Amino acid sequence: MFLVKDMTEIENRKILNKSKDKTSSACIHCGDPCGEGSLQEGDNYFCCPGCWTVYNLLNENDLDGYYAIENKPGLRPDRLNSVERFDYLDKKEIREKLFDYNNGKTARITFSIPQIHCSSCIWLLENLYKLNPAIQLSRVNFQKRIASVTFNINELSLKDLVYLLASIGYEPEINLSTVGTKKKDTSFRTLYARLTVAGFSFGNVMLLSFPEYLGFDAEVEASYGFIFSYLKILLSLPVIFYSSSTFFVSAYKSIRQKHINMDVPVSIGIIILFLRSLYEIIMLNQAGYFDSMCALVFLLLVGRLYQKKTYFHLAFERDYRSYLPISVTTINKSGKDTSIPLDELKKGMRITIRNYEIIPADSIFIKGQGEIDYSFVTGESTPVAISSGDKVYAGGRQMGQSIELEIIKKPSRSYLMQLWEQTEQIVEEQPGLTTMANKLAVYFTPAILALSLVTGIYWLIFDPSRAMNAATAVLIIACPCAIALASPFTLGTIQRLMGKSKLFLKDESVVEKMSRLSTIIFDKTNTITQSGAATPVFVGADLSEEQKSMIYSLARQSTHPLSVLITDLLKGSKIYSIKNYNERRGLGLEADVNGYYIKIGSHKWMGIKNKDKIEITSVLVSIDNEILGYYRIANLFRKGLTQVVSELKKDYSISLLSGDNDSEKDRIAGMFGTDAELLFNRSPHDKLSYINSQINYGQQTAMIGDGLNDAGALKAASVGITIAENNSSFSPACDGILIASEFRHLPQLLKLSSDGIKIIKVSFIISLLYNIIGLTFAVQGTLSPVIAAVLMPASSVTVVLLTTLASFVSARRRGLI
Amino acid sequence: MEVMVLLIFFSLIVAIGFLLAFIWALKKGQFDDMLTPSIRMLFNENGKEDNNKIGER
Repeated sequence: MFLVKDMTEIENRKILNKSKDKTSSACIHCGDPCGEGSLQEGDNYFCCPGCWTVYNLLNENDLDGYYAIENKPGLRPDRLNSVERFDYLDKKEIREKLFDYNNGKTARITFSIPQIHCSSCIWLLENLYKLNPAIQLSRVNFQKRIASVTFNINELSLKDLVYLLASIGYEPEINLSTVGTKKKDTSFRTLYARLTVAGFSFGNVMLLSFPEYLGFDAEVEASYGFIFSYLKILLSLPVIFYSSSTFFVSAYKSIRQKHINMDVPVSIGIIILFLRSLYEIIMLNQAGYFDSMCALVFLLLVGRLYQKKTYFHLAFERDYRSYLPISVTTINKSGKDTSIPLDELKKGMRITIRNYEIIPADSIFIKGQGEIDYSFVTGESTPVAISSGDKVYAGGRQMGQSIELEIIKKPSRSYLMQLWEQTEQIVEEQPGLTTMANKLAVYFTPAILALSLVTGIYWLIFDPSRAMNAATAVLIIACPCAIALASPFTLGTIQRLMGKSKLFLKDESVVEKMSRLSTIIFDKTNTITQSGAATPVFVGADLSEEQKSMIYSLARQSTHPLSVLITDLLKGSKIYSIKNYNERRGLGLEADVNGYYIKIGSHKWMGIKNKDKIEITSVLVSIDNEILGYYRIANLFRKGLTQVVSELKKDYSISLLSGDNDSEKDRIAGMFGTDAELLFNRSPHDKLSYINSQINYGQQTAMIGDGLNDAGALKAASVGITIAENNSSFSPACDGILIASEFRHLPQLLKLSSDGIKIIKVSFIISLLYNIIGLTFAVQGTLSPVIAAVLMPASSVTVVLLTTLASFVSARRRGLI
Repeated sequence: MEVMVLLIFFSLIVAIGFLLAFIWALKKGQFDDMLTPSIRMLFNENGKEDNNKIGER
């Protein structure tokens, strides 16, 4: 296709390093600074050939509007990769699972594209038909970061469609967890429908009740009162049978599980209200309490809706399946490549892993130059070089050329997956965490039932005619509507406020769990250290300018992360021409530079045994076989870490749980203090069992981590928070995602959660006070419909306003908004 | 006064009509995406003259 342009053309456009002033400009496509290897066309600069290719492609197809809507909207296409990567999409059984609809001619598919971030993205993706006429319609849902594409399947294969998207920087997320789990979430629609019905009935019943509030003309009442009353019954029927069924179902479920939740007293209140109003209207020709009932259900449903803040574009439930590839390339005995779905992978099969692909199952390394990046699985920051016969584990990422592996375990039996299964069991064993409102309901419900009974018996003795009235009035007025609204509104507001500070919580109950924490455990790599940021420091003899220039000239030839770091450090040095350049991935570089023979790389590369146990990541330098010293690569800690740690130390016990080596123990100990537990070289299993032991000691633990190596710990912890560089980066299953740039706000966010609990407690007291006022009327049997209609909504509205305002005030006080 | 009963009756029928229309639209998924259409309507055919920015969400 169009992707890989003529290489010579790319070469021609390369900006030479000499013209420094030009290289400082930003790429017109993606906005990244144009460093080395950037291209120029006219007045526009491009940071890489990928961006340049996309720019030209869009311009040729009359899609340059992309750059007019937003400034530098583009995404750098990850790598100029081959279409073979998507070969698995030609497999019928995979393809069919992905389509929403397919009649053999026209097909519709919905892709999840986390990269969607601005209006330019929407515009481009909805104008896909200009790039390929076989695409009939494409529609983006910005909130959910999805695009659905309708296309002619005879003219454009799914593989080519995905490849087209990938080549303009919008590679869809296709993985095992998206395949085969096609169910539409319609719970929002149902909730809205229930709410609308309740609101409709509430308004109309209220209107029909107005004459009663104001007092009827006796003559009019006699002739029309009953019509109004029966209309109210009719309007209340959908409320009781449709809108409030959600509370009844929840109450029924909780009773069957032998827990009492807040929906139990709420349901009792609603049902009694309904039956008593029915009785009063039909038998006694009185007004009834339908207005209060509809108001109550309406307000409770508003609470439900408010509480249900979902971040559509974030996934909190990802498991290993979404990390693994959907298919693998196997090599059969005759040496032919075939792409098979992951499920069909069996022990003994040989597979090919290309650059940047993920190893799907534990295997033995057969051939190629293997350098596996396990950082996501183990937390080890540097890639591991492997040689023939070594064991490689699922979840590692190959860096470099293609390698060949032989599977020794099925994907589901792999080390990584077993970790996942273990946590699944643990989570099931954990008793259901009860929320505050439900805890209160456990005492509240029997108390109210008892009070109602006592009132009933009292009046049976002294004035039997009032007994029924008073007993039911107690149940009605005690209906804990305000209490039931306090938590959703407080927690919902706080969840939204935290979202503004870039901490996205899975649901509102996490706020409550956060407030109870006693221990906070950090991962190291990419959690307290910045990902990709490290500063090399040279240790050894002083280097002359000439030597620096020689190292620079050599290091800039390589794209290895460590070489790039050294290149950045020495930027501005002279460039010598080099001869006999040789790079061995995972080992090092060598070349003749300026008449000297220079080697930089690992201990193994230098031919020395690593006896003195320098565990720090280091790059040795030798000139003419004389080792001058090494670059120590130390991680850069996140901004504000010291402050975050010292803030947290006041209220929590903190510790560190790292999969990496202990080379930086001293630096971390300086920050975390002497009493903090610092554990290094922990495997994912160790992390998991550490968290479990903490929980067994009765500690409420928060795990703050990032990669798959923390997945078990994140899941087992009371609160698991993932640090992510941006919205679209991969994060394992967790309770919350904190965007890395806001890491420094962590202590304030935790304090905000405790504030929330205090606010809820205060509003519980206020609504109980309202209840007591109502109950004084109720036990005397003097509760009139008007009092109920004023008192019940008033308490709810007070609580709603108070909780929302108080949450805002406390967020402001914590400096978050 | 009789006319009031009639009016209430008719106004309820109208109101229920709108309620049903809303629920129909809801079930059809018209309210599933409340954000993108507001951005989409500002695009020109070729997108060139647009300058609306919605920034990162």
